[in-house]
Parts: sequence; structure tokens; C-alpha cells
Amino acid sequence: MQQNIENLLQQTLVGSKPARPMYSISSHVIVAFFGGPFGLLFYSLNSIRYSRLLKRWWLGYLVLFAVVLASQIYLGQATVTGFPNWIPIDAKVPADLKIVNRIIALLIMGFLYLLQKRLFTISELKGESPKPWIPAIISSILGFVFSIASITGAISYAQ
Amino acid sequence: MHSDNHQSIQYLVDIGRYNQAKQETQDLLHSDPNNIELLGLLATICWYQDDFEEGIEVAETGLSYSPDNEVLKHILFLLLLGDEQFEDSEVLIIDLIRNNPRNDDYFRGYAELMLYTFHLGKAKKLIAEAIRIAPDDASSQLIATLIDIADGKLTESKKKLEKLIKESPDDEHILRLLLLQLCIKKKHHAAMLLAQELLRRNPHEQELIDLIISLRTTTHWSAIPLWPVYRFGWVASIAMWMIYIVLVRMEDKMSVAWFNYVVWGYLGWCLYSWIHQPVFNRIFKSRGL
Repeated sequence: MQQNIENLLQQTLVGSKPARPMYSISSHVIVAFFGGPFGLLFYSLNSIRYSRLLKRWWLGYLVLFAVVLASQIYLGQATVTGFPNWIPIDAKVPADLKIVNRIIALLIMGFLYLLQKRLFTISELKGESPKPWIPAIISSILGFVFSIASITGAISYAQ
Repeated sequence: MHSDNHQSIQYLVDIGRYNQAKQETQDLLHSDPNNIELLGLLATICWYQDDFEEGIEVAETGLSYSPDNEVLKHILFLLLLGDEQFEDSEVLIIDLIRNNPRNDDYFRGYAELMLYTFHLGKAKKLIAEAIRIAPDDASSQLIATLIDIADGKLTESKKKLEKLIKESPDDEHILRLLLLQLCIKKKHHAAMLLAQELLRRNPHEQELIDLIISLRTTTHWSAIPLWPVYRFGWVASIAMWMIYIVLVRMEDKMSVAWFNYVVWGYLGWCLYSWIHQPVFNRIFKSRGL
């Protein structure tokens, strides 16, 4: 038991950045909606860093980034080749493509929320979330630009 | 005379007259600037007032005269925690625990620090140790309940809270925790009644006022059509958007004139859900409580 107490008395916070409250979950939904999957990733950078789910959080972040990039490239190619028959969506219709992109962003948001549910709850317990406007707008714009760039690049390559 | 003064200052602190208590303490310190007890009292008053910067300065001054003073170290820990100087507060609390391994207050303080820095696993172990030392201490049970809420264990937290309420039905910290639970479970009516009771005890607390205004909005009769939105939050928002897509698809496929009105009616409901809270919050805020 003494060993257990001794283990508890080892410093945990040495060299770590201050743990800021996370942005609210509703702001994540809005960024996912308007900024797409890339916008959501940029907006979630801080929360992924604090989640400590992986020792090297940046590795998990890079994997997510690669998954999102792959999804955008696939969507770009689908506008030329179309989706498989079992997907009842016409990839050549821009409005439908936007819907698919939003669904992808919301699925990623749901995944991140399930992984970080405790952090969101602790942030709520701590009190007010930080004002999300500026980071949300910047993330949404950057996300939009990245999505357009990757989809356009994929279309050019496919044609 | 000395202890009379300290008692009167302590009384002022107990009834929440912090400004007056601070003034009296500072007046006494003018004639006795090295008085450790007064410095500790002043630092504590600063903590109550969330004046962390001044409190830290006062506590450090006191510790420069008496470096091993446990009371001053503890109040400095609380001030550093309040000021979000987490690394320094951790060093201090570890030092306190090493010198006093049977003090449950210190384990509880460390658990709180770990909880608010997102180290939930370590917070659980620390509060378990605090409860092992003092199983009947309500403050430790409160922190344990908060940790259960953070961990998503709402059933366990509910049981702990019920026990706490039974033992101390009038304890404000416990009532606040109950309020938190009611808000998390979206029991808005019950939460509003409880928040109003807490406001009677703390009439100038802005956070409570804002909460009551928000709860009044969600429990007003105009919010009845928006029940799914207030009940399910962002999940409802996503569902609303998906329903809109389905309705638009159906409208394209169906050649029925009236369906157009269904889609427009639905859009109107969505717009109402977006503006309801900000508009009614403003109305209730201007009306006052």
C-alpha cells in the first residue's frame, strides 16, 4: 500500500501545458457542419492533445488527418467515376456531395466525442467553455479551403 | 484583544462580508505586519473573493516568515489551484501530503487538481485514499460524486448524492451538486426550483441568475414544441438536419402540392428552435427575476 501511495505522489503535471477547458460540444457540431471534416480536425486539435488517449497524441492526430484526406480524395474521384451502386447518392450533384461530406464530418465528430466524453464532462463541471467564435471561424474557413483543394486535386487526377 | 479581533474577522468571513473582513485584517496588519495568523486570514479572504494574485502574494509573504507553516501552505495550494498554476500547486500539495500522510483534506485537494487537469484515473485513486482515511467526510464524498459524474457513472453518483442529501439536506455544496446532476439529466423544472432556492441564499451570484434565466426559457410554455431539441441537445440538431434532407428528397419525388407547406413548416420550426433561446433569454433577463 505504501508503494501505491508513493506512486500517487509522483508529479504528473511537470512540463505540461495548462489544461484549458474545451470548446463546447455544440460548437464542435457547428464547425463540423460548416467546416467539414478538416475544419473539425483543426478545431479539435487542443482537445485531442489533452485527451491523452495515446502517449504520442500527434500520431493519432496524423492518422485522423490521413483518414480525412483519403475521404476527400475519394469524394473527388467519385464525382468523375460515381459511387458504387449500393450508395443511393449521385456524386455528380454538388448538393449531394456536400451532404456526404457533412455526414463524414459528423461521424468523425461522434467518434471524437465518444473518445473524449469524459473531458467534455469535466470541462462542463469546471464552468464556462472558452468563447469559440474566432477559432471556429478560422477552423471552418481552413477546413473549407483544405476540402476544396483535396477534392479538386482528386478530380484533376481522375480526369 | 488579539483573539477577539480574529474572531470578529472570522465571523465576518462566515457571514460573507469579505470586503469588511479584508479591511479589518489589513488595518490590523499595519500595526503587526509579520503576524502569520493575520496573513493566513487575509490570504483566505482573498481566496473567497477569487482574488488569487493578491492572495498568493500574501501567502508567500507569510511563508517567507514561517516556511513550514502548514496552514499557509494549504491556503497557497488553494490559491494556486484557483489561479490555474497547476504545476506549482501540484508540487506544494505533494509536499503537504508527504509531511502529513494521514490528512484527507490534502488527498482530496490533490484529487480535485487531477480532476480539473483531466487526469481522471489518478483523481479516482487519490479520492479513494481520502475516503479511506476519513470515510464519513462529506467533502470527499462530494468530490467522489463529481468524479463519478465526469466518468459517466451517473447511477453511482446518484446513489452517493442521495446518501449525502439524507445526511446533510441543507448543505449548500451538496445542493449545488444536485443542481448539476439535474441539469445534466435535463430535469429542467426540478433544476429551476433548486436554483431558485440557492439564489435565495446567494442573491448576488451572477452564475445562478444566468442559469435560472436559461432554465426559465427551457421550461416556458413557448418551449413545448421544442422539447426534443432541449432534451437531446446537439444530437437533436443533427437529427433535424437529416430529417430536412429526407423531406426535401421526398418533396422531389412526390408531386403533391401541399407537401411544399410541410417542408416550409418544418423549416419554420427549425428556425424557431435556433432563435427561441437567445430571444427568450433576453426577454427574461430584461424582466428580471
